[in-house]
Amino acid sequence: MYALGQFIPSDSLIHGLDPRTKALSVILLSLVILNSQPAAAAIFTLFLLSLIPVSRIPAGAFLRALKPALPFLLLLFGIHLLFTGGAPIPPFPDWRITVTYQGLHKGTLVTWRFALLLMSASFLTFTTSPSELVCGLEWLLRPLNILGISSRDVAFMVSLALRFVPTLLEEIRMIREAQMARGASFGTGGLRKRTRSILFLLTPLLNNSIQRAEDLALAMESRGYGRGARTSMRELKLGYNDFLALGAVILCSGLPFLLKGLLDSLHAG
Amino acid sequence: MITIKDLVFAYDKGKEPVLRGIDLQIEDGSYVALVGPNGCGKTTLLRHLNGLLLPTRGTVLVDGLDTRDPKSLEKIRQRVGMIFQNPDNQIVGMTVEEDVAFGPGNLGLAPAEIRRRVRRSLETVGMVSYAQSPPHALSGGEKRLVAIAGVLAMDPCHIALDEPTSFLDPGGRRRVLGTIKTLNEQGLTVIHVSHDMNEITGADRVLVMDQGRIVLEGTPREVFSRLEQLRDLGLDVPVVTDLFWRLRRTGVDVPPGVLSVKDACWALSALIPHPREGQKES
Repeated sequence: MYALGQFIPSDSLIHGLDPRTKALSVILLSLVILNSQPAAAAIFTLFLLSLIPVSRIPAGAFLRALKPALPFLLLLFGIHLLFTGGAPIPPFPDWRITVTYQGLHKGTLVTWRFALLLMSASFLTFTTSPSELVCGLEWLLRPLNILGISSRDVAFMVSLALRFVPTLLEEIRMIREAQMARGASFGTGGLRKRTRSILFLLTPLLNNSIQRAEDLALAMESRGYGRGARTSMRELKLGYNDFLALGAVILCSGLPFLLKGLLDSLHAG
Repeated sequence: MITIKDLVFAYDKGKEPVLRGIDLQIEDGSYVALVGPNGCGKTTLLRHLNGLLLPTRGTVLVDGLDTRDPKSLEKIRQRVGMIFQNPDNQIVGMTVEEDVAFGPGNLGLAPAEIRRRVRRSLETVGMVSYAQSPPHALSGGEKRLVAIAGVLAMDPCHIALDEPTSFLDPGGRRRVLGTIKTLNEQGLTVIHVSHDMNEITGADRVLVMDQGRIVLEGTPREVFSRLEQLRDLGLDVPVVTDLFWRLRRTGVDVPPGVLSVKDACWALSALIPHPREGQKES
């Protein structure tokens, strides 16, 4: 069964945090991770690894989350490895495109950073239900209200889209089977034939979706959806744990800079 | 009370009207069944009850509020809950409880009150244990019940249901019909559009529509005794009613308008000589 963001329910400390705390933490961590040097990256790695037992998410789940990104990570590594100028590593010739020490260093660092980025984002999606995420998103988007864009409407749109993903997947399966029953084949034949068969899938899907949207609009109107203010059953409240968690994340983000400053002053001294 | 006066409706000006002069009064707390062949205007009529469609001519009054008055639309939609044919297209939440919270959220209620109503509505339809489930994990019958809960959370006085049992298995059908009956017993007005005559024998009143008009109305007994007229419209009567109608035609002395198996048992056992009396005679 399709599960969005692979939310894994549990009652861990991290699951219990306010979605805003988690989203802000991920944003902050992403910023410092993207600018990290090896020493700092090592600190963040330790920090994230130590959070795994706290979140009660099996470590294998994080590996599975990295898996789809693997080709991208390899590509990233390869590009930096080959296209960074510098001193070539002995067996490789001194051509314009070659494997250099600098390339190896940069490639490793960039790939490491991205893996860390994905890992921190996984913490958010693993420990936060989609509805909580949307609720947090609504709050984070509130600055948009100044521009006249209702953050509530945007968040509602996102949640509607998420709600209909499984429904549409199910519908695709049904259309596929109906077409196959009438002799269509998917995933075989040349590029041209495949493109055509996808069209046969998309046209009825689009048609049905428009019908669905019309029904949905009527149902929403019947249930009093309008331009005015809406309220939610959820109340976001920052608790003691949230401040503690935010403090820990800020401390960890600042730690490399603190250490660097300390070392610099020692050297200067 | 819902009062409909001389309602005429056409989707486009100059086109053939879909509703051609409907006069109707629906008493508070009554159970009204609406039947008729496909395309007779049942769904169109239903959509007038909460102002989704507005009359081309005539008026629709819900508890005295005119659906054509934009200012009363919000109140009307809170009072008349609408259940559509396809529950998949009316569930908007990512989880059951969020979906039920959608209506009260639109009314602008406080979060604590919304949670209370969500809980109460899910209890009424017996779906509390599914509060956290995503809608696509539910069966057809469960989706219908969630749709009903979503409407109940608005605290309506009347609910209008468009073929609420279509595509359901017998178990799901029983649960949905049972819930509708319970709601009616709790005082809600029910307007139930149906294709299946067997499920509306318990209604207070049956309205038969054809070509945009109400052509027959009365208690289920009165309506189902007009078997030939219903057949001409392409409609059926409950199986038991049909059986007894045939018995009567062959000269068996049974009462007309038998609707339920229970009635049928009474009627049949009245025909059989009482065994103890027989013993006395011999």
